[in-house]
Amino acid sequence: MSVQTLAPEEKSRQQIMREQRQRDIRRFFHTMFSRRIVIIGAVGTAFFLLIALFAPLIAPYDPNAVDILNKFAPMSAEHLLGTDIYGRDLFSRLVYGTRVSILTGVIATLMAAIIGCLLGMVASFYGGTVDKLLIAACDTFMAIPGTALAMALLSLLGGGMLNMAVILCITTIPGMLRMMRASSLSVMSTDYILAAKLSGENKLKIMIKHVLPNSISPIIVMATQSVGTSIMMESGLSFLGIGIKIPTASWGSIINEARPYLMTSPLYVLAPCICLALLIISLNLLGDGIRDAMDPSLRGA
Amino acid sequence: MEKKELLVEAKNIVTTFPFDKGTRTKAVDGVSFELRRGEIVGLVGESGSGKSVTSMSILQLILPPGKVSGEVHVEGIEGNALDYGPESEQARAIRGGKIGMIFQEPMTSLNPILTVGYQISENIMTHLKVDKAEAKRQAIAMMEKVGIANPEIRYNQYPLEFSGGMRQRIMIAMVLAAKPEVLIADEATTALDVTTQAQILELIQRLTKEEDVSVIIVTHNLGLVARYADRIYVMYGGNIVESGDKYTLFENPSHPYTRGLLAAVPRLDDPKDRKLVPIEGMPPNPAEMPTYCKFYARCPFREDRCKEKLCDLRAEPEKDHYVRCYLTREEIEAKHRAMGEQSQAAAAKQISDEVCLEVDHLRMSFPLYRGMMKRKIGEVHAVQDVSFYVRTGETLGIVGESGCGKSTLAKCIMRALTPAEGKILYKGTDIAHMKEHDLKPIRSKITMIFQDPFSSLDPRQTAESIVGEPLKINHLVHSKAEYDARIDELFSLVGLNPAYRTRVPREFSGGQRQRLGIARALASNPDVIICDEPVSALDVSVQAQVINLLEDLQAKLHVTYLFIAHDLSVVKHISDRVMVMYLGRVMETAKAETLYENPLHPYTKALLSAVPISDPKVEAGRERIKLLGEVPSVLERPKGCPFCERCQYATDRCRAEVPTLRDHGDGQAVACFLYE
Repeated sequence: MSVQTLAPEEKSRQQIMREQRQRDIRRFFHTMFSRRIVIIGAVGTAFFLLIALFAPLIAPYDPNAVDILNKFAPMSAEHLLGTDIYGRDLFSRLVYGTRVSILTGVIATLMAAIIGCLLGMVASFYGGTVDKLLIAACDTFMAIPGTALAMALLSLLGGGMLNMAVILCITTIPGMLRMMRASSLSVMSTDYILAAKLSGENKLKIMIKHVLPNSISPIIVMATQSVGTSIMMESGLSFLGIGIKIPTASWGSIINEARPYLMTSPLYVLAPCICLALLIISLNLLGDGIRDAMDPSLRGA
Repeated sequence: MEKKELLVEAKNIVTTFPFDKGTRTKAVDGVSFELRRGEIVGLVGESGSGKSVTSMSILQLILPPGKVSGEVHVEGIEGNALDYGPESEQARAIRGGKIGMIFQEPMTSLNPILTVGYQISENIMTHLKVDKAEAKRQAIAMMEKVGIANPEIRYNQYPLEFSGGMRQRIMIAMVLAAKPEVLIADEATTALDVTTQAQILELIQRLTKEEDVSVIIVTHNLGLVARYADRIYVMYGGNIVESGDKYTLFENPSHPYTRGLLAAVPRLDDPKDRKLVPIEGMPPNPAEMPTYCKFYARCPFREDRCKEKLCDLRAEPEKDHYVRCYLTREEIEAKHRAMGEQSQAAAAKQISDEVCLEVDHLRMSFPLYRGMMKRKIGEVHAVQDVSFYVRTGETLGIVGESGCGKSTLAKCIMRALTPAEGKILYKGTDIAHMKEHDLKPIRSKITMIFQDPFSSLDPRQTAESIVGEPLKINHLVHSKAEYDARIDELFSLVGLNPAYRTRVPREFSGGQRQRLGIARALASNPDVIICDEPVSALDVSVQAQVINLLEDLQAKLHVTYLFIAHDLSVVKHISDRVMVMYLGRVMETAKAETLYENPLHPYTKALLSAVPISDPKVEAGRERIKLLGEVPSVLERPKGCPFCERCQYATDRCRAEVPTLRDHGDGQAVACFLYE
């Protein structure tokens, strides 16, 4: 036996468990923020999240209130970033646009992660024909360029935020499915899964109790990174004029509207572009941090 | 013997790595050693002892942020080699040129996309500055020297086309082709089968003489250095704790750690009832490396003065024998006697006559597909016609090299695989082709201990739920109180503190994890436990703890073990009877002592002779049987006796017919035509 002292028995088991969890969480954040730049990413993401959450409080005007006499107003105390082609307050539109971007990105990714996880588990659980069919379907979807697929689906279903989210979700699912399938297959080949099988546990329980918790971390990492991709795609589609319906403010559609006036009022184009770039960079940095913290090779005693 | 010329001399090497916020941990802490021409030196230690880091430090292979200080003098290089810096002309001349190194993994140390010939001749061209044609000529000559048949043809083959042992030969050829004066073999044979290991080391020993190189063998295996080395350095916690001539060291071990190691390792020539004496505790954590004697916490002879300051190496009465311990050998002996002779005999166990598990003509094969249409082109017969029985309370050891089918056999008995043919009788019931539903009650009676204590425990489960899972699945407990009591009982049974039940696997050490695995296997009150290489992933000092635990549990709980391992010494130590397998067939079964004293099958003889014994005196007197070739792939199984191609007694009949297992009296049975 090894030389160890007895832990004080007075501590209740719940207490020990709680302390353990707190230690784990602390360790998680410690690794995550061990690189300074991840903090910048987290702060940036939090900043945009707050803006989206409190948009009505932050925006000084109704984003859709038209004031045609006051179009292309320059920066002023009244209109922080000036006004657009219809005299709408650009700042307010950007603030509301944050909402659209983050909401579509998050909803699309969440749905994709859940569906992708489920289907990935199904593929690895049943194997054989089911697996082959699902993988073939994935390959088919992945063979079509994402933007082309989204455009086709959009023209089929029509624009709007919900449709947009659904379509972005569909383009994200194949990646998630493949990732989950690979990850759960590798977990299923470990000895502890064999041990569970040999102790007579039924297969479904093994999947839920052992395989799912051990194979989910790459999905979480992938999800944080795919929020950014979805937002990018949303803006891209809105820029093409087939995404979010006008007059709803979206960064992509603002850029589209402002495109002809790049020379005369550069801020009109630049402001939404900068917002978009900052949010995407922040999300990617945060995603990198989460990936580092969840990487099992960096974990352990 | 007059002293030969000094080739490498290391003085006070300290290698540190950064650790948590500014502090640095010393992986190697003041190591000094010397290597003379024509010598084979052994550097022995467990994982974390700093033996590999030492050899890498000499070659300046330590990457930043690691730092090396000290002095390294290499013959022919002026001054301290470490002063030149790792990328200097001199350092590169030493690496590969003066000193060659072979690593553990022959798979990863060769570049898979270049032919072996290209890799060897490239090395020759770099170091000997010869032209391409000359390099090729030398490379082929070298390949021939290391025992590769048809070197002209194999020159153009890729590493993928060679077996593990052959790749290691290629590595040796590549390293020696540059005509180094020193060869460092860092666990070079650890990943290989025993018979291949013996072949490779014998090759190195022969080449030492022919090519006049000196060798440093870095290993954890005491037997290996007892057989092949001339001088030995024992390392622990980054220090050399003892050094000396191999005969001196094994005869008069002076450091408590060396003594402990020798008592903890099972030997092939052990008497049947020898009880191993494990070294208590675990090797020190690099984060909390003490500044005094590193072995203090585990030393049974420790005194207060040991804690004051690290002892210097001091000379023992024998020539060139140094030890790092304040206590003299007499003091240790006296203390050892005062502590009293611990019960040396293993706990008595009962073996009943009742046969608990019987396997009858078991066959298992895997289909082999090829081509676009996945056409079935044949079958791999992993297990061919295996029959045996185990009695209640008995331990049956199953030994064999890789590919012999021992793990497939275990999986069939566990019914993780369904055998193609044959019967598996558990207490008279055939479970070989039982449906999963009917198997459930039997699953709790036959359990398994896995090899890898890291991958066999769910990293996200707590210790308690790992051990408790079989209890819940099989409804063996009926209330929370009963469950808690049973968990505590199981934890104490395997020597784990029940307070650790809420920890997750990564918070345990390797040995403790294996204890958890054992507790899980015991939870459902099994009759048979299949132990698949249960100690091969553990350090030698921890191995003995687990082996003793398994023995004690058997005496206490009257369970039956099927002990599968490749390490013959361990199998012989723990088993009552041993079954030797080769390419899916049983070659010989016998009582453990009989097998060692009177092996019959030529393969058993060769296998036994390949296992080194950690006593140079015994080693010197042993007959060595050289085996031809390597274990063939299961795809190229010979038509007759599976061993016929490597057997020196093979006749035409052996090549045509498969011998069956015949009884040879006293529980010994052998499958060989020599004994008909």
